[in-house]
Parts: sequence; structure tokens; C-alpha cells
Amino acid sequence: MRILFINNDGAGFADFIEVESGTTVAKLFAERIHGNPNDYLIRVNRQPAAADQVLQAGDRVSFTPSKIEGAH
Amino acid sequence: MKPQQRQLLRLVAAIHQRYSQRRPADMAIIDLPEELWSLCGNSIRRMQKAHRRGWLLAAARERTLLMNRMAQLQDELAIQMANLRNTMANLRTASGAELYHDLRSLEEEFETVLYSSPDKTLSAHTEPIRLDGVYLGPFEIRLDWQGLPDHHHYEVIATDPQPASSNEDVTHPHVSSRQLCEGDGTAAIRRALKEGRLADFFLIVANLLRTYNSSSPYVSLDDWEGVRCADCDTLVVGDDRYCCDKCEAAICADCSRSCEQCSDYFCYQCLDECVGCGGSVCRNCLWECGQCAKAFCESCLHDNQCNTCREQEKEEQDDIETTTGSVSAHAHTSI
Repeated sequence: MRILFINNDGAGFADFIEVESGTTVAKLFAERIHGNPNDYLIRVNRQPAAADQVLQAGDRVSFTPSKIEGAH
Repeated sequence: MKPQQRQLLRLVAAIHQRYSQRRPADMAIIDLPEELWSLCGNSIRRMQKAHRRGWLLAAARERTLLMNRMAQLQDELAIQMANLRNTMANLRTASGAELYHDLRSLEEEFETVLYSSPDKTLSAHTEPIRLDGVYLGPFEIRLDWQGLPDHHHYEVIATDPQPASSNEDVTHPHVSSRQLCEGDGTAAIRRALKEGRLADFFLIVANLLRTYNSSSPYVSLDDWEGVRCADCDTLVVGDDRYCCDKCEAAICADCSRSCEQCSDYFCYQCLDECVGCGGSVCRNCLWECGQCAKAFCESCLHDNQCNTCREQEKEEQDDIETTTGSVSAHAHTSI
């Protein structure tokens, strides 16, 4: 099934991707992000989501790092 | 429909229109090989002319040239097409519905969200931010959406400013004069704005504000409430802070010294020593001896001369007088 996947880490990424039916938020995170889920704001359809939430076709999933370092 | 809802829809429509008019920016990256096309045209005309006049060798040469140029043209077009395909694939643009849901979600992510139609700005207010125990207050992230999607401008405004004591323009370790230094967030911010993911933009900026990068701040949080003493480099806070009356450098109470003549406070660099009495004196209170040109305080100079020069002059005077006396006595005796 197709979902909109947004990764706001690094250079940023936003595009439709194919995921297996029954994919959970935790599984998608593990597949796509190398990090600790606690360090990210995870939203499904712009709402906070639980790790075991099963994704549906057409969902908008975004991972935004909660710690982003600025500079001077 | 509630007035607020109507206002939001109008805003969404206005912003979406900006993104719909992106075409000129996309066209700018397409550089059609017009010159090569025109060269192909020239070759065709020359080839036809050579055929008409029966110049078979010239016609063959033009044909070869034309084939090379057409191959080049083909390559150029393939490159342009790949670039265009790449741009279209990687850069998606939020639909009107997505923009609407983004703006609605901001109201859940942030304490306050404001839309200003006359200014064409969209603002989200963060909660009060405290980093490493230092209270910095809440911030307003104000996006000017007029230039979107190709030119973006936003400001980060401290609504309860707690600037660094050494620089009032620095309201956050990574914000100076309302400009956020995006650091690791630069690419993600640009991409979010290019694609119209406004909620992501605000979230990334807010998370940058909630993070302290101790290796690259405008002002370190360790120094936030104080300044470093120019002489001994210790942190000076509040009433312990003195200011050099000459160079205005911040100095601590231990390092501040007063001029023994005018009693003003100075840093170590701006005080000198009187050659006569050895007292600490500022440069305004030092005078040159008219004789030896060394620097003395007012108390050590008399009639523009230091004690040493004065004594020396007196001795020389005495010597002259003694010599004159003895010469005169000797002359008297001779007579």
C-alpha cells in the first residue's frame, strides 16, 4: 500500500512510498530511520501516534527530530 | 462558517496560489540547446545549397557536421529531460487540502497561532523555552509567506526577551537579531518550505529552538547571565561588573583599578604607571616631563619638570655658579 512518508531529519524527504500491509509505526521507523524513536516527534495524519499503530493506505507519516542543533 | 474558519480558508487559498505559480522557477532550470538547434539549421541550409550547386564534397562535409550536431542536440535534450524528471519526482507541492490540514494542526502543536492578512505573515508561538537551566522565554516564529515557495523569510522573535547580558541582540544561543542560525536544520527547513509543508517548517524551527548546541552558539549559555572579565576571564555578574572608562571593556571588581589622579575605573590595559611615584594613573592624567619626556602624574611634575630633571638642572646650575665664582676669584687674584 502507498503512504506519504516524511523524514525531517538531515536533508529532508517527503514522497509516497510503498509499505507492506499491516506495517506499524515502529516497523516503519526501524526500516527508515537509524535512531531512537524517543528522539523524534512521530505523527500520523498530523496526530501523535503510538508505536504499534497500524498504518493505512494514504496515511501521512512524519518523523521530525526533537533535537536539531543550530549554529551561529 | 465562522469568521475564523473563513479567514483560514482565505489564507490557504492565497498561499496555495503562490505554490501553484511555481512554474517560472521550474522553467529557470530548463536550458534548451537553442544555439545548437540554430547551428543544425545552418548546416541544413548549407547542405541544401551545396547540393543545388553540385558541390558534392561540401554537401558530404555538411551532412557529417549536421549528424554530429544532431547527436549533440539529442544528448543535451536527454540531460534536460532527466533534470526535469528529477525535479518533478523529488519536489512535491502540498495541495490546498494539505495546506489547510497543516495550518489546522499548528493549532494543536503550538500555544498560539496567528495569521496576519495585511502583513502576509503566519506566526506560531512556542512555549517558554529553558535550556540548561537558563530561561529564554517563549518565541514567536513569524513566517512571511509572500515570497514562498522560492524565497522564504522568517523571523524568530523573543516575546519575553531574556537576551544574553553581553549582547542584547542575542535572545537565544542560536538567534541573533531575530535570525535563527539553522545549522543542522537548514536543508530540512528549505525543503519543507519549498514543498509547502508549513507545519513541518514550524515544527523543525521550534525543535531547533528547544535544542542547545554548546559547540556553536552566538553566546554560550554558561556566559548568558554574565560577561567575561577582560583582564582575568572570570564570569562577572550584576553588581560585580565594572566597565573600563576608556575602552568600555567589562571587568570584575578584583581587576578594576582606579586612577590615583581622577579616580575613574580602568582595566589593566588602560592604566599606566607614573615613572616618578609608581602610582597607577590613566593616560589622561599622565604628562610628559619637558626635559626627559617620560610620563609622570601631575603630583610628580613641577613647572613641567620631573624631580630628577629638576634636581639635575639645579646641580648643573650650581656647578656653573661655582665655576663662574672660582674663575672670577682667580681673575681678581691675577689682577
